[in-house]
Amino acid sequence: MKDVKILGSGCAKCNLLADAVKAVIAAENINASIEKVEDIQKILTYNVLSLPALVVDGEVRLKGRVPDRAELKDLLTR
Amino acid sequence: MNNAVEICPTTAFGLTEKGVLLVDVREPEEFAEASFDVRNLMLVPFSQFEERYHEIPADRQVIIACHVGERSLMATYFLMNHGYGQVVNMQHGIVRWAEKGFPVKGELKRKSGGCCCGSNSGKHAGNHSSGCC
Repeated sequence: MKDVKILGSGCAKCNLLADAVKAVIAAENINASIEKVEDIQKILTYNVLSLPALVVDGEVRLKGRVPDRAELKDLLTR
Repeated sequence: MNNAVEICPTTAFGLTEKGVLLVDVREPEEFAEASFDVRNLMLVPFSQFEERYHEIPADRQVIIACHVGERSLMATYFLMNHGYGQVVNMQHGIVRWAEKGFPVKGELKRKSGGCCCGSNSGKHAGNHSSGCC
């Protein structure tokens, strides 16, 4: 099972990424746990300032933007 | 990780008068509108902070500030994670600084905004070391 985390402080862009990630995971039937991390101190353990960010299995794969569906699928399945 | 030390604008102003460095992490367009008028000022925009944080001296006390204190809190934690031991966050940003009548160049028009990804919805998690404001 993939461990997917969305790092964001709760702003509109962060929520947009969270919704997009959930949609792709559901549509592609990806076996994954999803967690939204909003606590600044927890977010900064990943050394990321540009939010939102996507972390898959402990690796930061995206930061500072919301990608399109195809890119998101690639980021979640690679 | 320890909580960040946070100070109010009044304390920050006193420190800048003693020569402590103030690092403004607002974006250039925000700075162009209004800026802190202090002796030792450095600009490291939040959008470039991950690439440029090493320009900030690690061997002296540093105050991090932004528009309302959200981005600067994140930047403070980021620096702490990178070994900066004398970094503090200025709460409430240049908005409260200007309200208090501390020196500003230009005119502060925007009273809100700015955060993690450009908005202001970050969550506070620091130590409030001063209640003077």
